[in-house]
Amino acid sequence: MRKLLQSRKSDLLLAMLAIAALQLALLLSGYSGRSLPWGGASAAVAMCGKVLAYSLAFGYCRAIATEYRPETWLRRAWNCMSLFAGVSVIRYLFDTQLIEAFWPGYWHGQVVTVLREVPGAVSLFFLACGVTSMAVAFLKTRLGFSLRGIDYVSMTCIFGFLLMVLYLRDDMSAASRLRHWVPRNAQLASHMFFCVTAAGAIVLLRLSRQMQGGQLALSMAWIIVHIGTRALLVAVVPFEGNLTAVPHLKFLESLVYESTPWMFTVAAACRYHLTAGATDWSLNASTTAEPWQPTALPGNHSPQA
Amino acid sequence: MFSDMASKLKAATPVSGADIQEALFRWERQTSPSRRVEYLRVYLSRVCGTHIAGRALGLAAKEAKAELPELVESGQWRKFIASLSEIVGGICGEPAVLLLQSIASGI
Repeated sequence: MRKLLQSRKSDLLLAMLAIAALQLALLLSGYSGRSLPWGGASAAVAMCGKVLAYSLAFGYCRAIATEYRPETWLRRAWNCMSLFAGVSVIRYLFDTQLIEAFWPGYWHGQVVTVLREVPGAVSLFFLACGVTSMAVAFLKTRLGFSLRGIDYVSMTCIFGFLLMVLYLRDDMSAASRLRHWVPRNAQLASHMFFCVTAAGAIVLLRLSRQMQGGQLALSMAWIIVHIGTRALLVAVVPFEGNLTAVPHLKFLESLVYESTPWMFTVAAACRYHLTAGATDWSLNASTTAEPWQPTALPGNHSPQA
Repeated sequence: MFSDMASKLKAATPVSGADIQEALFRWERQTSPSRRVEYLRVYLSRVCGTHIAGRALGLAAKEAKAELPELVESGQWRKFIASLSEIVGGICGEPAVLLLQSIASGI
């Protein structure tokens, strides 16, 4: 696992592209849905890709959280992000047709709704907490971060629009017909948490722009891309009727959706490598370097002391 | 072939390891605080962006009672680095502080 965490950002992006290419190859070869009796090779590739991506993200986020002092907002934020990644692994393990091989009738029972909706809601709760804690951490510093009026307007619009789309889409009405109150409320809660997360991404966008570059802003940008892509996939739902001319629209949507875990993994990797390399360098340096003591020197190089 | 060349070069070089250490030590001492602040600014800009770098250095200088980061004097240096470490640690974590302190003490 430690070796895997040393993977560079480009390695992770290559892994994301390789999985997408594999799925495309399966679609073009006609194997999707036929090669395995319990669902399809495509489902296997999708599940393995998402589980691998979120497992890596979990490792990265845990390592990042330990770099901060206890009781700090950024430690809380990265702990929440690690919980989001960890619960997402569980979520995707239960959200695949492959389970039919070990648990016949799984997809036709009541328990499937509980095992799909509850981890989904819990993971989004942690993502919302993570994004909010990160925003609070930067806004509480005395480094001049602030929000503008347009940010509040954007947050309200995004929150309202996404909530409306999520409430009106078919899945929601399907959930409202469920007998179990647990999955019914879990789905409603997950919609609320996702809207909070999407609105929080606006704050992160403002903060990353105010940073004016740097690895930290790059990491935040990947978190924003992860949330933004997921929000875009939700927002496109009402317009699917008008997009029938686009060939393989559902497949393209699923391809983009399955890339979103890798976006989060790249975000965590960017942040992890920011200090992982720094530690090695500083440890080497601290063993060789003497503490600096300014001394009066002849010539033009005299220190200001 | 290369090992032969290396040993010949080593034998021909009149500078010992101790001389190199001494030269490095002298260079460390000759690096002015303003240049070290410039190194810190470059490092912080790469890690946290130019905005955070500028604000963090400014805040740390203010807490060390210096007008500007480049004008920090030897008596204020320790306080300046302690304040800067506090700010950077809160944003980038403790490993980033270790590197910052390495740069501040002279590499």
